Amino acid sequence: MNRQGSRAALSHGKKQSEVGTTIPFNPYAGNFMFQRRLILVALASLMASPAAYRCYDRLMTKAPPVDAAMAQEGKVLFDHEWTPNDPLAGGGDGLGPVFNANSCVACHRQGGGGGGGPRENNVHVFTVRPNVSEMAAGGKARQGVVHTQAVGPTFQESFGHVHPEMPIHVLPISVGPVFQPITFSGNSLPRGVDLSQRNTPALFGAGLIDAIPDSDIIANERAQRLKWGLATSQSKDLPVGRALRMADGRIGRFGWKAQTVRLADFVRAACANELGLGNPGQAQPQPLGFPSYQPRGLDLTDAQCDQLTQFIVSLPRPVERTPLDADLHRKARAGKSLFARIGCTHCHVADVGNVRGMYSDLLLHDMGQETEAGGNYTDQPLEEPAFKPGSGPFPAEWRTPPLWGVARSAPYMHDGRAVNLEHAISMHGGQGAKSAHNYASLPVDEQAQVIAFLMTLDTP
Amino acid sequence: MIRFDCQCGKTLKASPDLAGTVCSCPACGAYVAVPHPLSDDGDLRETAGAYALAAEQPVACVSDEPAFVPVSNPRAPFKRSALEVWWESQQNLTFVGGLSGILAVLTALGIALYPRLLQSGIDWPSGLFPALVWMGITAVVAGFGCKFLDAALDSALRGGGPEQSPFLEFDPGSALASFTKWALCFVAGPAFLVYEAIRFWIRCGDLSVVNATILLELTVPAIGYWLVGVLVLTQRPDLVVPSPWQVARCLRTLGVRAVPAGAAVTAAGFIHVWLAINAIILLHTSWLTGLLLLWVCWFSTWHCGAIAVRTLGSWTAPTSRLGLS
Ligand code: HEC
Ligand code: HEC
Repeated sequence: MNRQGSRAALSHGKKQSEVGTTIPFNPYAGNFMFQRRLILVALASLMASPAAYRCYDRLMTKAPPVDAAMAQEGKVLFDHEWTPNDPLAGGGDGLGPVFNANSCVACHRQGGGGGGGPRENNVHVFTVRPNVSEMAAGGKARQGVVHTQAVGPTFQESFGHVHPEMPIHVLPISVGPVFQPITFSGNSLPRGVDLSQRNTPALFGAGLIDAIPDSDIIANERAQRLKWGLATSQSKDLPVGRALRMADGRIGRFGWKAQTVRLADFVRAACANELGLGNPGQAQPQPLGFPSYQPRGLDLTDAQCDQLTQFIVSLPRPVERTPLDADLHRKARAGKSLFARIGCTHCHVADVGNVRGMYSDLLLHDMGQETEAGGNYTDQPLEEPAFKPGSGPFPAEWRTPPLWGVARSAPYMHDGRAVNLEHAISMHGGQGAKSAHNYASLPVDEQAQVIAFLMTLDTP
Repeated sequence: MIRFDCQCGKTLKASPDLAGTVCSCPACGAYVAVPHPLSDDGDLRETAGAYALAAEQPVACVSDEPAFVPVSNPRAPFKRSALEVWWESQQNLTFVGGLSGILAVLTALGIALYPRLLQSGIDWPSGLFPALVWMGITAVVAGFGCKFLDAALDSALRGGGPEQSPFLEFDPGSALASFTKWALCFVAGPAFLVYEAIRFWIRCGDLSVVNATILLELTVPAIGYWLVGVLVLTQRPDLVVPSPWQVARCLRTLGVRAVPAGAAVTAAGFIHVWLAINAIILLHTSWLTGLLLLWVCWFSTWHCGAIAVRTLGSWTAPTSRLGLS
């Protein structure tokens, strides 16, 4: 009774206050609530749309499936031994006039077609920068490849063509068991000339590298900078790499200098530079000593280049083999964690995006003075507008090579100067010096574990 | 409306919900207690309707949050202009200058120390000790800055005027406590958003419009949540961390003003982060210039922070000049 009474009083009080504040009748009140909800929903979806758009974009960008028929055609072209006026070369002059080998597989052959190559097949790359007076006279920097072979002696290139002070030296030179940098009877190279070699890398897994989105490479770049206290890639000791940006903003990833973005583009460059097969993507090189040579036409069509690309994409990816021997297995496992602990994984990052077990960040790193070499393996002049202005690779900068398949790609480093893995590690200077030092200060059995791990990274 | 007289002789009017609080007189600037409509002989008839309920419940208990205890300051004879109010937040230049100097050096040390620590790979434990020492010292020094911001916020909540909390005192204990408060407010919500923002920035590719928008959508709530969280915690010292409900309620008090405030604070935040990044990069090549830029960055950060908390504080203060006429 009492309770009821107080409740009544309460409701009475409520009524009173409602009377006090007169709420005007609003026929649209319900409608207004609806409108407000609508606005909220619209606002929420507007907020969510950028993220949703990005998710959609990411989900939709998938690598196209391999076209087996095209890959088959590509294999034929890859293994084909080209001859001058080759019937496969359409209306062109076929092999040459200057070339480094007569088939792709002649160089890319270790561990099966598509593998790396020995040092005999190294490619000679040069850069010539004009001196001050030449520059004043309008001289431009030149770069290119000195080819080892030619269809006839008239076209044969030699170092003498690169610079008049260098001897008429017919390639190949010094392919002894020990790597020698190119010098001429003890003299160093003339000023402004840079001559270096490039060893043939394996192509297994190149299709996966091609499919990595630019943002995954930029992610490595940003993560490294953040990790090392925002140091820049100019750092001489911290392993901070940089993505090579093209003029159009895309990220380079192929080649020892990460100079090429797309696999398809590299294939076109390789056809022209190595075999002298001109194609719509890249003209064949003019012989250095015979600049007036007129090619008859293109040797390859776009379709043929695409077939070659499809063949490379269809190559199986390298594998991380589990050793059958239990003891070796244990050693390799210990080596894998040591590999991370001594700092190799700062650059040789195991996974990039969705690609597992590649052991590279695909970034350029300053590897110290010992490794310095210019030249970008194209026939373009140095002022070539391909790179974002001022961001072309420096002489000491090298792309971290993926270590997958490293068990079978000796010799190592960009010019094959290292005969084995220990040798390669000891040659890490600059940003790699600290982890190489860490490796050297490991006890012998732990060093062996690291090598045992690297030896599990095998070709398919 | 409540009518009452100031000591300068002017008759003031205040809305009834300011009853019991201290406001400053628009004419002379003095602090005046707004009388309670029922205990004083204000305009009872006008407020009777609205206060029929208040008669049963004293005003101070209407809100379930403990009301801020207003302190009257009878010796504030001059009316303060907006410029003055701003200048008050810029006081203590030597304090902030010195603090920023020490923090700049500590930042530079941290940046030099951190990569060394990482690179020593195999012998990591030997590097752990200097890292811990560095973290402890930095927390205390940053704590003095937090105390400075606390004082600014506190004075804003009291309705303006110079800081009254003793942030100039050398008291590492309370500095650490203040740092902990700010850090806890950061951990209880914004940390997650900031972590997501950094993760997104790392993976986003070069910043396109879409990417920049997503980044903005992560950072604006993070910074806003942090500041409002500190605001809540200052008004409710009984809490350890602000709960999302209290933050939401405080945001409702702020209303649409939260939007321009959030935009301004975020813009300032981005500018300072950008400045700091450049300063840190510069440290690697020319340490003196880098250090100088870091100092500028810290100096400006504390001042911008003070302006931000003062503004937010004055908007949510239970005691305010708003509503007086
Ligand atoms: C004379 C030996 C030689 C021949 C012949 C050769 N290559 Fe190569 N290839 C190389 C060298 C050396 C490189 C590394 C060049 C560089 O990075 O500067 C390379 C790199 C490549 C790459 C980039 C691999 C990577 O991961 O960076 C591709 C793709 C490639 N070659 C495809 C081909 C194709 C297709 C052919 C046949 C048209 C071919 N190569 C013929 C020596 C050769
Ligand atoms: C600063 C980044 C960096 C670090 C750290 C680093 N590497 Fe490398 N590594 C490179 C680069 C760049 C090259 C290519 C250098 C060249 O071609 O001249 C390379 C080449 C190699 C090669 C030869 C690969 C080939 O195909 O020729 C091996 C093997 C290797 N690294 C192993 C290691 C090991 C083991 C460690 C840890 C002790 C390590 N690297 C640490 C950047 C790094």
